[in-house]
Amino acid sequence: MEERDLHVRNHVYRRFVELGRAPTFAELQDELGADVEGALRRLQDAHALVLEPDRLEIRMANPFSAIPTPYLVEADGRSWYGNCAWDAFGIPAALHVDGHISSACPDCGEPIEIDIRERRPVPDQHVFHVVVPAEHWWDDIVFT
Amino acid sequence: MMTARKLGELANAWWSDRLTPGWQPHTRDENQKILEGLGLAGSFWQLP
Repeated sequence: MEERDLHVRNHVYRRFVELGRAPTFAELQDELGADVEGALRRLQDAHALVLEPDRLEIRMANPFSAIPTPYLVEADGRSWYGNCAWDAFGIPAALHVDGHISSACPDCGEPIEIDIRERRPVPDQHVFHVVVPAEHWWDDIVFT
Repeated sequence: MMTARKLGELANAWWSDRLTPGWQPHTRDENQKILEGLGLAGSFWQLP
C-alpha cells in the first residue's frame, strides 16, 4: 500500500473515531486535498475501505459502519455501528476499551445486550453464525 | 457457528491493531494464522 494511501486510510479511521461517524468526502477533501478521491478508490480496491456504490462516500471502514445497522456499540463515551456482530465486537477491541453492544437476534428479534469487559463478552453464551465461507467474504462484503 | 466468547477472541486478534499509528494491512497468511490459532480451520475458513 502506497504511503499516501496509507495516510488517507489512517486519517479516515482517526476521524471516524473522533466524530463517531464516517467523515464525508467533502471533509476529506478539505482535510487531505483534491487527490483524496484516487486514494479512496485504491483503498476500496485493496479492501481497506468500502465506498457507497452510487456515490463517493464511505460505507464501511471495518469494523465501523457509516450507516445505522442492528449492531450499536457504545464505548469510550461515544457510539458507532458495527457492520455485523464480529465488527461490533471489533470496535471495543480496536479502541482497547470496554464497551456495550446492543443488537437483536436476527431470527426471533429478541434483544441482545452484551458488555465487553477487559476484552471479554459478558454474557458469553450467545451464538454467532458465520454464513458466508471465508473465500467469498469480499464477493459482496455488504451482504457478508 | 461460534460462541460469543470465541467471537470475542477472534475480534481481539483480528481488530486490535486497527487503529495503531503504524498499522499495516494484514497479509493473507497473517489473517489465516489468526483463524487457525482459534481453531477456525477447514475449507470454510480458507481465505482466498
